[in-house]
Amino acid sequence: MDIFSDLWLGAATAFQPVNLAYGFIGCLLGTAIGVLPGLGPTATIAMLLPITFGLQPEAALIMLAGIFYGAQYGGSTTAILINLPGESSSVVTAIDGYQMARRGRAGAALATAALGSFFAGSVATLLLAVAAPPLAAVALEFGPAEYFSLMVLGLVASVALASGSLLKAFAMIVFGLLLGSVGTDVESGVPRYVFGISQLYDGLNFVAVSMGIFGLCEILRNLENEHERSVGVRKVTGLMLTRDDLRRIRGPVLRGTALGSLLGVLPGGGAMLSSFAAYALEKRVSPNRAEFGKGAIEGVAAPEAANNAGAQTSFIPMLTLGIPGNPVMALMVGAMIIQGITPGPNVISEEPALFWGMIVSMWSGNLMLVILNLPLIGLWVRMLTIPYHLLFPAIIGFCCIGAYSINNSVFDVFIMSGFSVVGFALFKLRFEPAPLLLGFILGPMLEENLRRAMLISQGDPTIFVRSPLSLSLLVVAVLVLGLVLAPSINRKRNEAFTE
Amino acid sequence: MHLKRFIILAAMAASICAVTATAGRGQDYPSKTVTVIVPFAAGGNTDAFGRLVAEQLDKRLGQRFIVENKPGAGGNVGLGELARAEPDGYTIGMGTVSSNAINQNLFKTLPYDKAKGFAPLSLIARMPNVLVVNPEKMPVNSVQELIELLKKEPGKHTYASSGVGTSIHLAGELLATKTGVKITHVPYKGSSQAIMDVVAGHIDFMFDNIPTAAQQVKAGKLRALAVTSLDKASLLPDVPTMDSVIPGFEATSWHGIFAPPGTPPEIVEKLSQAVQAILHEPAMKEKIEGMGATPVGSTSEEFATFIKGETEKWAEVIKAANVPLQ
Amino acid sequence: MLKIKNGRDFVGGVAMIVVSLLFIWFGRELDVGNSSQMGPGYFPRMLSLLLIGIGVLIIVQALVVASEGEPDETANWKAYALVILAPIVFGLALSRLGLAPTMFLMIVAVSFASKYAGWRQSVALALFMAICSVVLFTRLLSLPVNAFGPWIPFLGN
Repeated sequence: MDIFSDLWLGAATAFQPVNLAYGFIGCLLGTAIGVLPGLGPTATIAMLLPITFGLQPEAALIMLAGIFYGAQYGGSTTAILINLPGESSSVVTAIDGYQMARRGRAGAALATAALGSFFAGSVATLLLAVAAPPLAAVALEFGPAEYFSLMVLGLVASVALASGSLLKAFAMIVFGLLLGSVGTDVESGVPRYVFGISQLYDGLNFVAVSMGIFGLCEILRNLENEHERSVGVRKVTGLMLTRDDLRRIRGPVLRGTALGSLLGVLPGGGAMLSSFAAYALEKRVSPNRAEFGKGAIEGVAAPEAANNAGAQTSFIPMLTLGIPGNPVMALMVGAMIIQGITPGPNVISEEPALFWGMIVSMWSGNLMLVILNLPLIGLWVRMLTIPYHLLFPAIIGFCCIGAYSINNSVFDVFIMSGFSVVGFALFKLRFEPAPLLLGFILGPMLEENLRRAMLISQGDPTIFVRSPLSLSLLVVAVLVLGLVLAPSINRKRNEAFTE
Repeated sequence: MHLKRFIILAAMAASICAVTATAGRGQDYPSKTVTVIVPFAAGGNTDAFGRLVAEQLDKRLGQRFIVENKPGAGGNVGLGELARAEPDGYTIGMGTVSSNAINQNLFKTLPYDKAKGFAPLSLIARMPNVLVVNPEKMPVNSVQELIELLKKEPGKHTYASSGVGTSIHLAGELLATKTGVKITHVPYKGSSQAIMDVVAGHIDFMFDNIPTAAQQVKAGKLRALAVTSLDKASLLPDVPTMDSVIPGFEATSWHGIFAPPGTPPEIVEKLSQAVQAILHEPAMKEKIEGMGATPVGSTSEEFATFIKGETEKWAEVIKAANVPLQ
Repeated sequence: MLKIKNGRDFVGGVAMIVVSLLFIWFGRELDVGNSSQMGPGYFPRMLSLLLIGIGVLIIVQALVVASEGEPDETANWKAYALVILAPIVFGLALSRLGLAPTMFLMIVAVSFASKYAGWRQSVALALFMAICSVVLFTRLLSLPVNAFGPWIPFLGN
């Protein structure tokens, strides 16, 4: 088998002491930074990029990759502990993870996230090694029409993120879509809702909005009803998973891994969609459906597995085609170009040691992360025992620096503050914020791909049903919509009957 | 006694005056850390050039040159910041064809005074774009064949760009205005998504920066028809220039370094000479050529004339192509 | 006359309609185009109309279905004001005072949003955060911000 000699070559590169060391530094930095609110992998890699200029290409890329998936691990920590998702993929983890923490099960939630991510990461890395080129071909099948249909499916599925009124969840999605339209219109170049502010030309920043709506808003809610010194978090019970937990997360992790691996391949939003999709799927198939939104362990396991699998497979378009699928990958391409390697379809044949070394290092990196993170869980959980009146000012402090670091501009700090007000008002009116954020993320992609498809088809809307791929996605979307609406219609009917 | 004290005081005063005067003339510039604003995100071409040059300025002038990324609004946020900085040489910044020659014609409002402009230090590098087609969807082997095909099927073909008003978009508009063909512009956010859709065949052709496109050409995924510089590109030596088919067709992206308006000429001169010297070092040249660009290192006067020409050229294209103001 | 059975949702529905109207008003100059030639205003306009529709439905629901009756909440205006204003103060002071003093002042101020705050603890926490953030962000991550800004004599530049 060819693959074994390739993997052997990769192992020879990845397991060189110096590369292992840089991989470890990357994972460590990534975790540390992922834990700090607001500092996502993009900002971190951007800040640390110059440091890698002096390194060997392999070491540089292994370290940057380590930061990337280390930050994925770290990001879920803040989502679970303080309801502060540092990046789009952990918005979903926050829903049930934070509820678990409030019920004293922060340890179990963190362990689920770490183990689920490790499993998903390992499987996705294997997939990357065996099937990168065919998967890349799938990614190329997705043109504007197919992306539009995929986004529609994602939006329909996102209604499942809400546990309350469907109508209000739809309202939040549309509000999110509207917020996503702030900034320069990609097709015409006309600025929308920018009020002459240069910083708004690129739209509202996700991290700033999310830190306002989730993080600061949570602090406002906690301070409102400050009855005890440590707010809302019950006594921590059992750091590790029980046998029952393990049984419950097996299915979700497997399904999450499958979904994440497939969606992650799609550049531009695939990996983001995967955690939402995995959560929506679990909420439908899980026997513990009623627990979702109140601290279901499945609601942590599935999206965490999906987002980590997606993070690994999102390397596929970059490594096989030389085309970065997300901002982090674009930074990696930048790093490669400075190193004198131009990523392209020939990287596998021209730089086999680099390609296979990176793949093997992803696996060893995931292993390091799980070893690094499991003992840390005890430490994180102990953090929750810090009196809240000392914890929340620190959270606000880190949020402010985090928001500043996005674009090295205080503008995003103001946006964060503004959206804490929006988030709090929405909470008072009992609107749930998760569908809003999903709408906000998907909105620009939905609109761009819709209009791009219409440009290509010269205004002919049948383009969305002519492509078999797009058609089947739309059919699935309609089915999902039916499934989502059916129970509530049934319930209404039952209510009417009982009256 | 008094006289003695007076003389000492006078001498001290004089020396202080002398020191401040020479400082004003840029003799002991730089005496503290210099900030280099890059108006684009880290990891891109402008950032790479900025960092390469800053690192060398560091060594040459003996002070720290720190790169700060201030991305946003096509470079306008960073340039606004540069314009507001003290014109003392301790804040300088990078600029590109879009931020310093196109945006002026494209945006209704700019966060700086268009008339004052900036003090150009030196043109660092020029990067040609290359016209690439999807070989399966577009059975053409040369620019002439492409133009014939586009004329035969007006309005049927699409070209991708990295956004409205980028040099990649305007190269397409330049093609349309110079040859009279009717083509549909499909803008993307950044060039990677755009080139992906050309490789996949969703879009027919595009102009793209040479390094990424050249890799796709080598792998046979795209066919290169011409480069947009007046000279052939080192990364694609067999590809003819657009100029040889459509005389006067030139659309390169370029990256230069600027100081805020009103910076003392001595400091401008000192920085400009340092940058020129850096760009004439063989190691530096090699590094920039490896990135698919041509190192330049012009004087500040040459750079100023160059920018003037570029601004006028793109103003005409934007007007002819009816690109809406932002 | 109809009676409002769920006041919270009634306000929610009205809020959604207000949001949509704001988007329509501020986007009134954007070219809408038509469905085969969409202008920049098309998408936001359609979404705004959709949101008005949903808002109306929420209001209708609020008139028909009674709320589940949640306990009343007490407002804590001091906490709201401090937490919401803290980032704004941070943003305004950062470039002038520098990271360390800004962080210190903000943490001391915002800690009084809690009724358990005490001077000694707040100052200690603020000092810790100021030192932490300077070491972490300006030294290790080289964030482009000074530890001490131009308004701080001797230390700032």
